[in-house]
Amino acid sequence: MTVLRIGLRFHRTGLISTAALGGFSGMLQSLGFQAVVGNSEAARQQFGFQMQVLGRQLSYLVPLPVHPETLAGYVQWRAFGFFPVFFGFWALMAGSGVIRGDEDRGLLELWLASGTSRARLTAARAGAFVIAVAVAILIVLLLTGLGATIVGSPLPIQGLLADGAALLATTSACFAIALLVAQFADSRRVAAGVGAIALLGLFLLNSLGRTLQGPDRFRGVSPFYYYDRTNGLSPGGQIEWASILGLSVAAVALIALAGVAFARRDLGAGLVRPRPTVRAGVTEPSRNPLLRLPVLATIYEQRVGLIAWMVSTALLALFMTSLAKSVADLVSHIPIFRAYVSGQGDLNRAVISVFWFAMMPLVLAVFAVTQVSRWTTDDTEGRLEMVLSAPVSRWRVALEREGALLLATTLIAVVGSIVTFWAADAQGISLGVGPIVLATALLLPFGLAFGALGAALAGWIPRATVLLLSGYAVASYFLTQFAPLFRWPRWVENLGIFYLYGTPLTTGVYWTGFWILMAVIGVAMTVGLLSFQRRDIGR
Amino acid sequence: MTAAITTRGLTKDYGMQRGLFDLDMEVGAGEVFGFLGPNGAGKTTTIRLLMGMIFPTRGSAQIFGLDCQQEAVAVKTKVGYLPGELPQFGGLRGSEIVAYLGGLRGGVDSTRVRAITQRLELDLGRRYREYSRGNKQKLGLLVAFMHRPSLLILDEPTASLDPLNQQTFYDLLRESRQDGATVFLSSHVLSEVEHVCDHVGIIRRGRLVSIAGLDELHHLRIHHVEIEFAGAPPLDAIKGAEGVTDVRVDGSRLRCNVRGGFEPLLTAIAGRGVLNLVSEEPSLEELFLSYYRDEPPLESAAT
Repeated sequence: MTVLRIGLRFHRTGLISTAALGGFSGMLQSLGFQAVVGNSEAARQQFGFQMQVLGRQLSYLVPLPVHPETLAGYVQWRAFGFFPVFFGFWALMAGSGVIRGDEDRGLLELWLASGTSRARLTAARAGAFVIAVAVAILIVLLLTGLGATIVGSPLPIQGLLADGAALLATTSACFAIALLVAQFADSRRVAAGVGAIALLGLFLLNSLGRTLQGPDRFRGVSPFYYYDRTNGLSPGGQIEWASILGLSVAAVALIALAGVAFARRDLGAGLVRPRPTVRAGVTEPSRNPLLRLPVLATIYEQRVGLIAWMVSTALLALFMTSLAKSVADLVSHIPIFRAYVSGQGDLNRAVISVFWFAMMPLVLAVFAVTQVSRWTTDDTEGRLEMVLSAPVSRWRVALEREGALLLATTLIAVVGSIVTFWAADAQGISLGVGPIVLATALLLPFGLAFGALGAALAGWIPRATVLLLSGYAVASYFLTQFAPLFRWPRWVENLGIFYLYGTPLTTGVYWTGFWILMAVIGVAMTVGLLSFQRRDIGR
Repeated sequence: MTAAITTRGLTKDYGMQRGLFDLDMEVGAGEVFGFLGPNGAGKTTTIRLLMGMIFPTRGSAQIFGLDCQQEAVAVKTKVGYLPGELPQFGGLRGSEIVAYLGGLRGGVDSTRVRAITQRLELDLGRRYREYSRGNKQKLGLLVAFMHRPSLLILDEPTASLDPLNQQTFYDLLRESRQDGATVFLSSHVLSEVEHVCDHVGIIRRGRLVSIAGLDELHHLRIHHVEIEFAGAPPLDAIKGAEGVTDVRVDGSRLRCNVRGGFEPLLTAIAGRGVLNLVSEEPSLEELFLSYYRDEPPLESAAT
């Protein structure tokens, strides 16, 4: 029971953030449906047809929509179609963190030494995750259902529960896969990387199998395939309890297999150990010049993660830009979406500006939050103490952190922009070198702003900093996306930070926003630097 | 003698009687100073105050005349530091950690690194997370010694080291001292402090209890002794022996405490049919309780 209780505690952040993200997203889809669908039956039918077209374009990401002209069908597609992505990510982080991460933290040895068997430990940690996911899903279902009830179109309870059950089974299966993979890796970082590749591969196998014949034959090995088979909310949709049950059984079997693998491996090593190589001992410091240079040493230390961010951003840029023409076609036919792109000239460019470049500040903000989290662990894990035992001032350490953050966000933004430019050009959309350089440059302060806010908050509430910043980043993004759509008052949109970006790709610099952002950075950085100067360091 | 470390009324109050209180202390240049105290006594807090990692509630600390808070950067050019708890460097290799931390000092003497690494039998080619606790401690020692600091501040330096490597560490300490370095090391092992230090500061519950020279330390020495005799124990002879206290008899078995040297006790039991003799060093806390139960903390002390 103790391990189960501790396990539940470890999943607290994942539970709150995933439930908030999913619940908020589901509720907004319900609340916003009326605004996008139109009032007449003809408008509704036209909307449904356009969503079908868009659905085919997006079929390698989400299942095809069924009756998207109804609220239930729309929520099924727009909300429940994307939920496996959020929950799958959580499952990946938890699957690689449970046991493997416990081991890195030194907890595992303590638990095993206290007489807890490996099988019991595996069961308790997996059980805690499943309970946490079930609670998160319940919150998501409640909020989504509440949104629909508020607009007067309650969702079918049985469909809602079936979708929730399918999501629970799929998330558990993803967790089980990540947990099993983690037993073959020798550290959490490797486990997370290999697990991500495995889950992404299974996701793409199912996604591509929706439209391509080759992958279609192998879709059955992907847990996401069985999730697709239930769309209980859509009118005429199906609920396949056999798939849900089968997936649940598979998840339990994979967790058991992971438990067996865990029982057979050494702590601190993967199940399959590479043959030890004979090499001479090293007695000299590394000659790598990057390690001796301020800022670059930090970049070198996190090179693998940074490359992963750059590759992911490039793929996202490719994906978002490749949709530009089809989205532009839709936007031109749906009056409510025209609000997004009015006064921005060429529609294709406007779509890239509004849908992709509006997401880039969020990407950079999330990256900045991961860096803030790293700064916090530098302190709690003693690395900062070692750095400060050298003759370097706290000013230098703080400024070097911001410098490394700026350099890293620049690399990510530049890669994203180059891919966007190239992918747009390949479709015959000219973005222009000047505008894209401007749009890229104006992205950079967002990473810096979240870093500065993180530094300021870390001196005051270190434990809650990451959660608060992540929540603010996501809330800001949704505010920017939904405020124009729902015609919310301007001040509501202004509560978020991303509106300060404007649309530089199409309309140039939004100077007011720029200067406000600079002021935010200036104030937060000053507060952060001053508090860092005066606070106690260490565990 | 120039003071390497000076503290005046140095206090870090964490509340609930926890922390460090009114520490007045001087450590002379070129001296090896042991800071002795049980777990939680305030040794690490003192060290972290000297290193400028935490800020004092009141009072001040200076290293070579430089204020540990206001002139922290200048202080650290002179200091080699080993923290009590080593940090997590994850997947970085030992050689990369040395290059990185050396880079923060403007460079690192490869010859010196090689020499220490070979003596400690440490392989810098391995990833930090693969190191055993002992190897992590060796890496910490390498980082502390590699730039020939004028002052070494070492928090429990022999923790996790095997006896052979402890000996290597003592050799490094001796050589640093010969080169003119001052050493401030904390420990909770009395015999270790006796082995390497000129002076010892004793701290308990956040307050300095005593500063003693090496020759005064033997007063602190106490051993629990248990002797099994073939017949009845020679009680009168043992009770009369110098330094023997708390004598208890249980049949042919006798238990007592011995302060200082063993010679008087050994003389008293010589030829009395001793079957077995076991001697144990008590924990520091036990020792301090027996010595300083009613003593107030030191008002002011100087070496």
